[in-house]
Amino acid sequence: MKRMLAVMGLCSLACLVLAQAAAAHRVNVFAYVEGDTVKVECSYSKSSRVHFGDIEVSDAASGKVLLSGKTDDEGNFAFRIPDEARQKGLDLRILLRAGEGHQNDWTVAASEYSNAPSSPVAASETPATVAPAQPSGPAAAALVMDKAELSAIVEAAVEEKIAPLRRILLDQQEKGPGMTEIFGGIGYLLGLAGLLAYARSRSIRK
Amino acid sequence: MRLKLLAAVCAFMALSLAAGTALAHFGMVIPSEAVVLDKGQAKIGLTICFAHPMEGEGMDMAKPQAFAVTDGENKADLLASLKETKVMGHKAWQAEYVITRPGVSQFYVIPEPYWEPAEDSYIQHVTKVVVPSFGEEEGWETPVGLPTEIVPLTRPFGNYAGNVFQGRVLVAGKPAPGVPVEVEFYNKDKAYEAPDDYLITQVVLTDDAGVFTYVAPWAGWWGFAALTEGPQKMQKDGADKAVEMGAVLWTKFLDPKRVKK
Repeated sequence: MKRMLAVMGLCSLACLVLAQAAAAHRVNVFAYVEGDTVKVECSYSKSSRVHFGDIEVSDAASGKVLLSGKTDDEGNFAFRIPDEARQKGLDLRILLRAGEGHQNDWTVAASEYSNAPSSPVAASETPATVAPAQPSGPAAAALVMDKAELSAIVEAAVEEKIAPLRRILLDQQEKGPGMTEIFGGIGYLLGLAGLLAYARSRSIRK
Repeated sequence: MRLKLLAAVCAFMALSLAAGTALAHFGMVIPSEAVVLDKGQAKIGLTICFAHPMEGEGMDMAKPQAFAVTDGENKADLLASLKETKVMGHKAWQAEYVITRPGVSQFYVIPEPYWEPAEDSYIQHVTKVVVPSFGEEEGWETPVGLPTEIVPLTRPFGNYAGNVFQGRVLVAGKPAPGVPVEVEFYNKDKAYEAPDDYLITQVVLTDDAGVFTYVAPWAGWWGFAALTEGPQKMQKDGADKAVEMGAVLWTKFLDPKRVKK
């Protein structure tokens, strides 16, 4: 959020400095995983796309640049998930520079692609090349994959268990008697007391 | 004698309190997130109910006739995803929806007409809320095409408390002048209390172009209900009864964040 605000600040500053005609545009990056590919869409809005924006994909943790490129005229960019990212379970930070201070970024977490099927080439490579020469490579990759998968499973399970509790808490917050019920109740009590008093006053007078 | 008077006063108080005051009804569709900016927020919950939002009093709501989302191009029927729940102690509905793409999602509900004996009338509030996602914001002014509808003139998200808010009321697709628009705050945790009954519901009228104007005085979810009489009567115990139609829009106003220095 802070980063976005900073970007927005930069954008508006750039607009002021460059005295652009257009209003302060936010540039948006959106990315999703499809198979072994990450698809990136860059736009100012639905009808205004980024033309040939610079893309840089890096390891979100270390900042190491994994690949770079340019969007097409429609603001689209696609890349195959780098083997290095797959093996190490890297979160991918996709940085868009659309020029003149317009930039934004989007992160694709490792968990988003670790469950997705890798390309048939990569899949057939992994089991076949368990060569004695480099035992750590594929084994380590498998371990990392398992970890990501495991954490996803644990997260899902915990969420499933917590959900009803959360609902109960919410219900309780909403269930308490309202002002109307409270005053209504007081009113009834006063009314009953009044009727009793009236009955008593009659019997006393008798 | 004095006791008698006390008794009479008490009985009167009890009666008047039990009868309650007339309150404004609101169809409600409240999303768990007003805007979706990252994937962590993409799974939103939607709470659907019929209530007096300022006082936090609910009414039982039958399963709606329709519940759907549209982004201006595609429409998805979400009726089957509705689960029964309780809101403000009454039957209500909830759903979960995952927003997967940048866009402007308009969620809307067409409820079953609700019989309100206190008003000797049916009430049907066609209710919508607009949730933008992943930076996209085009299309919020597109009418869904409901029988009666508030089409916002102010972007219906990303507004500060204190911003002016304008909308045009359409009935059967045409601007509706002189229509009362009731305005209420969703007083969810009962953090506020109206100083007197006039301040529970506020009212503005639409002008000749069917446009109303309101300024939300503090942050939170605010509902606008443009009330007209429906074209058709409904039968109740063999008698024709009017149907109050409401075009309801919910929108959230926010306070700015203070930068800590």
